[in-house]
Amino acid sequence: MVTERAELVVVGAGPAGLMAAIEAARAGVDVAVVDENRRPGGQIFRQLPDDFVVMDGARLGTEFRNGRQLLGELAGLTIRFLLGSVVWGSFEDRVLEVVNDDRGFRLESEVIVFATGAHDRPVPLPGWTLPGVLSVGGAQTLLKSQRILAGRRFLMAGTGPLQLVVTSQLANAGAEIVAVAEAVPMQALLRHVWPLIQGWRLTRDGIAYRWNLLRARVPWIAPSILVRVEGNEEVERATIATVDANWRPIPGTERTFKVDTVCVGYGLVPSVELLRLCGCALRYDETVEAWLPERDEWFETRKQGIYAVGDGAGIAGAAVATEEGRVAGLAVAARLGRISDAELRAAVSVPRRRLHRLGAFRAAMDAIYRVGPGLHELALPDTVVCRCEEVQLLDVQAAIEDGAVTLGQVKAWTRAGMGSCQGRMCSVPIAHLIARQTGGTVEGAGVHSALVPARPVAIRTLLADSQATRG
Amino acid sequence: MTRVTAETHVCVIGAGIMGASAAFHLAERGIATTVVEKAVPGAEASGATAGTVALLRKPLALTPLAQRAIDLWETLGDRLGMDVGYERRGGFKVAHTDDDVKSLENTAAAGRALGVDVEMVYQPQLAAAAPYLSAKIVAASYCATDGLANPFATLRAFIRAARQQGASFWYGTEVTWVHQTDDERFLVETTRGTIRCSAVVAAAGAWNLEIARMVGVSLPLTTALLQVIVTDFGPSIFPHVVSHVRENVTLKQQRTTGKIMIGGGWPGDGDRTVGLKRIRRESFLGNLEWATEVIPRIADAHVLRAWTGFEGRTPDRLLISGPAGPRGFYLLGCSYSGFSLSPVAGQIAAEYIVLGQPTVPCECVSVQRFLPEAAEPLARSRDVTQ
Amino acid sequence: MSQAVRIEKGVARGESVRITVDGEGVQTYRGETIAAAMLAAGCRVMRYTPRGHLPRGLFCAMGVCFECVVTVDGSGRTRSCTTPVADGMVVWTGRHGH
Repeated sequence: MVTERAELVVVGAGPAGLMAAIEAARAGVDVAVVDENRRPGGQIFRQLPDDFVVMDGARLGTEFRNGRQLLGELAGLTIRFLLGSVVWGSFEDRVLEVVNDDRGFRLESEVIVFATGAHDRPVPLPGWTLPGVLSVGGAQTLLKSQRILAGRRFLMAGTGPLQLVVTSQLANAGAEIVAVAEAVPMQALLRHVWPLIQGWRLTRDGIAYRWNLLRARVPWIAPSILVRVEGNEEVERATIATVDANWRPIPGTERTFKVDTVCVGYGLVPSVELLRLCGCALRYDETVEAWLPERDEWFETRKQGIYAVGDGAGIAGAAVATEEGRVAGLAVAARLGRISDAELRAAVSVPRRRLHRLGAFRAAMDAIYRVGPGLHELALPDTVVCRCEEVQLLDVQAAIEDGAVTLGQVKAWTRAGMGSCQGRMCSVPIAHLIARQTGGTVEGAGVHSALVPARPVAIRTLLADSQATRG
Repeated sequence: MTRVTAETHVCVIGAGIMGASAAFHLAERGIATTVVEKAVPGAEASGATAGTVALLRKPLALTPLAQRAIDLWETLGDRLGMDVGYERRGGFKVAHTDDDVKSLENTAAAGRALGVDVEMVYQPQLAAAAPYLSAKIVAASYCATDGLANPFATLRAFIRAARQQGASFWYGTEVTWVHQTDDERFLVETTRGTIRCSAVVAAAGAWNLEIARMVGVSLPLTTALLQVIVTDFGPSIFPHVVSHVRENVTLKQQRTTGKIMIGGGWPGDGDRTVGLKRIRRESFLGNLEWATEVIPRIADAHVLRAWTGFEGRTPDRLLISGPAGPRGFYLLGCSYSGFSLSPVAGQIAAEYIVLGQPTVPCECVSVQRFLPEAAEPLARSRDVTQ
Repeated sequence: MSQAVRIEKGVARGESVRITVDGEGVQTYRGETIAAAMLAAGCRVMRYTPRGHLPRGLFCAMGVCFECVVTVDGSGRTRSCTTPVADGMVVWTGRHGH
């Protein structure tokens, strides 16, 4: 099997990864960037397919333009892009196993920067598996990278900036937004005025999006939560309810809407599977309810030579991702002797200042939109919790009754987490279920084991160049 | 003076399939049983088995026991009150070379001599009976009683039924010492307190080495780390349980989902003493390569997970089940084809304790085959050198 | 059966491509994903679960959840949200037991 080599391998071609690659490459480091998508840009800077022709860039929004700008910075730099390539494992330090459509290969480097981004927080609730229910990130991806509205009549149910942005984008594109169910009341913002001022650009953008929706007369119902979706084979109705401060539905406040599409957006969860697979230490953060890699000030993890930046290390948005990538890229350049320590410190002073300001804003967002316990209590006994293996809440509860108190054990007893998505959609909800039923902590429920392969891989492709000896 | 925090009749160490089976058989017979498990059930060998339930095993000496086990498997789900996924599929053991075929023929003949219904199938009949097999396969033995079961479902079923009959299970609890008291009972010291009991069944797999040492028994046990692989949903390719005569690949496919379990005893990399275990790349690829050598269409499938588990190995790979060391101390497990034998293995352990003698023929699995000297009660203090 | 909407303003799609989904012809464009083409044609049910035979469709649209998996002749099970269409592609959801 072929082994490709680079000084720096960046996993993930979103803003964090691209910026790390750009800064390192500018300093003369030999960089290879791996991404499973066929185009760089990650989620936020999703580009249109090559075959689509942009007639009016203004219509595609600021994110499209910012993405184009970032990609423009690649010009003149020698960076190897390994697109349509999936990192599925690692058997030795800093040697990654990769497959693309044709073959498997190994990717060896001195340093790795993981910028693997995040995915939507899965929230099991009655009817969430009906066709027509999609994540708010999914609706945005369809819009950005395919210029398709996922349906006609939308109910948006979620919380925070991402829902606001996507709702605005969908409305601009002509979607009929029947209602937005936001779990956090407006007043919550007033308790964090100073950080909002510190991050004034982002606040200004937020106000603009909100104003956009007001003008379009999109009903904004807060605080409320999605409690049920119904339909025969597809979404036909969605029901929301007003919630208290703990996100628990208040009896008698249900409202049902006839819609064909429901976008669920209760936050993002960093994709840390590869970090775990490579042995990086993770810690559980209760505010954002996610496992995050432990990092130093240069964003190096506790595993030597492995850095983690962007949403893949903690949800903080594209602006933070870009600056983190910049800092890490420069740190790698210094580590590899391309720039001096003095040059490094000078180069990171502006990014660090930006990160400091953005950090305050981000902490406010985390506090304001912190998930309430009610979100984890929406599933009914027959609600599917593990989508892939069709495991219902009552199955999980029965397993916990039988003594399964870790994610691994619930998985062994119920099959939850044994499916194609490898636990990405069910680990978080099940950890909360274990904690609630056993009176323990979410952290104590453990993590989904870091197993190889990190994504399903085609056997044919794995064996295409294999030199494995016959037994 | 150690403070006793729990009293029971039998303490079983290890909640793998062997310990769980023993606990069930004991509890079913009304014996107060507590199982102490240092991690979670099925954390090691029992959780990394491909789930074959077969009759014709190497070494052949296990065949009579395997027959008894199959009898138990037939009604196990009903008896435990929970589906264990047992299915009789019919099994092909395939051969590529002339030497392999000879080996198959010998094993088949020996099996028939033991009363096993096994026949040889050569090309071109083989292609008709198993069209999914690679054309490079020249012959196979076929045993209609071969099948499979679900390892985790079976483990859970044993545990559940044992608990329903009154057995207690302590998880996340490590045994720190076992010693016999003056009145020939035992004190099992654990990280959650000390248990006083009349008998101990050590079913701790690879860790039986340490547990046995605590009571002065020196077991010739080695540790192996074995890998298994499972594929994602896919179309139905083959209905039988398929393995290679050299035992380097075993293949079975779930009916409803099309998931394929790939085993074959390929080694992973790990260190039991520090709890480190990982997939070995060469084993991962080698196992997959052999799988496609036997059933080419497996190449269309996607690998979903690969994982490992430590197992304890005796020099002859045969099960151990019987008394060793001080009176009341029993060893159980560490077998080739342990999953397959588990229903009867646990029964043997229970019968030793309840009846003094098992009702099934199990000379070959007696611990005494390693310990020629008569088992003497050794030092009762902790001063046993490691 | 609700139809997703192709946004025409500001972008021109590529060359016309024809695929079939469950035996029916579907008009799509080069550069579109199978999922986008199916949604635009009103096919929101992309598969039926192996055990309960329950309908599933696009959920995360970024290749993480594996809900959008369809069977493509010659390629097997494929995530429709990450796979671009190709002329003559034959796609099955399992609706008719395929």
